[in-house]
Amino acid sequence: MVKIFVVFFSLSANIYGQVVLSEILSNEPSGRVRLEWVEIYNPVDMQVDLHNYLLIAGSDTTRLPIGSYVDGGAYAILARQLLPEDGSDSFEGYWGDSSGVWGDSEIENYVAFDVKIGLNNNQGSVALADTSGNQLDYFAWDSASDDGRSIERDDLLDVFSGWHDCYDPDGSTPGRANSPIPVGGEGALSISVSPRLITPDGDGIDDNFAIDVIIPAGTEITVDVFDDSAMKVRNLLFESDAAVSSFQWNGLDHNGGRLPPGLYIIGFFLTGQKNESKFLPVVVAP
Amino acid sequence: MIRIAFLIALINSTNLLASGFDEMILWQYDIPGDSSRVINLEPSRLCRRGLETAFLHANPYGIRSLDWNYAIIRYGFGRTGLFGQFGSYGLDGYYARYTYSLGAAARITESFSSAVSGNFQTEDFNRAGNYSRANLNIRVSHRYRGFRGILGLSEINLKSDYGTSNSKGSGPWACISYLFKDGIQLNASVKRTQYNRTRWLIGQDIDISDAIDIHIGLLNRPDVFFGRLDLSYKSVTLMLTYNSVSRLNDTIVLGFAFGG
Repeated sequence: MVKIFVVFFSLSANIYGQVVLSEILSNEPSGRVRLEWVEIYNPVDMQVDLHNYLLIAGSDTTRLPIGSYVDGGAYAILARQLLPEDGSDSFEGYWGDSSGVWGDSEIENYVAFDVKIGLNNNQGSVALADTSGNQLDYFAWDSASDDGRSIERDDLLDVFSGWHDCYDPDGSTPGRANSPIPVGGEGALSISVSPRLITPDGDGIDDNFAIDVIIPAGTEITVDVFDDSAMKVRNLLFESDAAVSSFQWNGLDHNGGRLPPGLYIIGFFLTGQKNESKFLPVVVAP
Repeated sequence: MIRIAFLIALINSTNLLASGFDEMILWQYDIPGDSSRVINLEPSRLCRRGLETAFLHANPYGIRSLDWNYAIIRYGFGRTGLFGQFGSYGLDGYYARYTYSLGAAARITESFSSAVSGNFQTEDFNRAGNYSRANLNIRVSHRYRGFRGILGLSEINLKSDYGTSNSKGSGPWACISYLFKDGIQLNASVKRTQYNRTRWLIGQDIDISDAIDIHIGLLNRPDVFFGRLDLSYKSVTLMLTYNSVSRLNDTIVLGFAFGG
C-alpha cells in the first residue's frame, strides 16, 4: 500500500509539479512586433510536462503544447513567435542566433515553445492554471514598462516572490536567472508583496503577506496599511533606513484585532534624498 | 395605526454601502435637496415623477488595477417611487464584489417621506471562496421651510456567510441641509461607518445656472476634500468629481446621469 501511495504521489507531482511565472515581456523592443513572451521556471527537482498547464493571457486561454517539457531547475520560454515566418520578427531572431532554428547554439540552451499569446503593453495579466482551470500562479500589470524591458520576479530575498522591471542592461533575461536588484544604489524604490491575497485562518497557508522592500542609499522608508476608505489601520515600518527590509503582515490592526475581510492598500513612503510613494492593493479573505 | 406601521416598514433605505470606498463616494451625492442628480437618494426626491438613471466610474486612489463602478435607475410616480442600484468593485484577478439593490420610496405626507431597500452582495475572493450577505437599509426624510433632514439606518443584517467576527454592523446616520439662498445650500452629515468610526461630512452646493452646479465638501477620518462639477444639457448631466485624499493618491470619479 505504501508503495502504491508513493507511486501515485510521484505521478501526481510529475503531472502538476508547481512551475511558476518568472518573467514577462509585454512591451517589445522598439520597432519590433510579435516578440512578446512569458518565461516560466520549474523549481522542483524533476521534469514537468507543460501540456498539463493552461496559459491564460488576458481573455485568451491556451493549453501548452504536447511534448513541451521543462527540466527541474530550468526555465522555459513561451513565445508568441518563436521562429521567423517569411522574414518576420521572432524570438529566435532577436534573442537567439538568427539561424531560423531553435536550440542549435550555446545561447539557445533552454527550451522554448510557440504559444498563442498577445500581451498588451499598458495593462494585462498572465495566469498559469491546471487543465481544470484552477489558477496556480498569476501576475497583472497596469502600466507599460520601457520598450524591450521585461517584468521579472525578485529572487534575491525570497525565490520568486515579487515583481519588478528587469534591471539587466539587456532589458530582459530569458532562459537565465533574473537580474539582481541593485541594493543601496541609486535605483528606485523596489517592493515585493507575496501573496496578494491572504486567508488568515491559522492553517499555515497564506496566513501572512511577506513584504520585501529595497531602498536607495540616503533614504528612509515608512510602510502603512490603509483600509479602502483611505484610513490608516496599521503601521508596518517607520522611517527605516535599512537598505533591505523583510517583514510580514497578518491582517491585524494597530490593536491586534482582526480587520474585516476586503481590500486594503499597502503604502510605501520613501523620504530623504529621494521622495517617492507606491501603493499596492491587497486582499484579506475571511 | 396603519400609518405608523407603514412608516416603520418604509423607514427608508438606500445606501449601497459595503465598503469604505462606496461610502466615501456615494455619501457625497446623498444630500437632501432639489438637485437634479439622480444619485441623490432623499426619499421624497426618489418619488419625483419620471425616469432617471446614472453611472459612476473610478479607479480608487489612482490605482488602475482597482476598478469601481456604480449604477442606479429610478422611476417615480409622484407619491411613490421605485429604484434599483448596482455596484461592482474589484482587484483584477484577486477580488470581485457585486452588489444588487432594490428599493421603494413613498411620500407619507407633503413634508415627510420614507424609503426602504434591500441589498444582496457577493464577494469573490478567488481561490479563497465566495461569500454573500443580504441587508436592509431604511431612512426617513422631512422638509420644513428651508431645512431638509434625513435619518437612516444602513446595513441591517439579514443574512451573512461571514462569521460573527466578520459581521458588519448596521450604521445609523443623519443629515441636515439648509437652503439659505436661491441656489446655495449648506449640508452637514454624520454617520457611524462599517468600521465603527464616526465620520462627518460638511459641504456646500452651489447652482450657478441651470447648466452648471458646483459641490464642495470635506469628510473627516480620513480627511477627504472633494469638489464636483456637474454640467447639464437638457436631461443629460456629466459629473466630474475630484477627491483629495489624505496620504493616498487623489481619486477622480467620472459620472453620467440622464433624466430628471
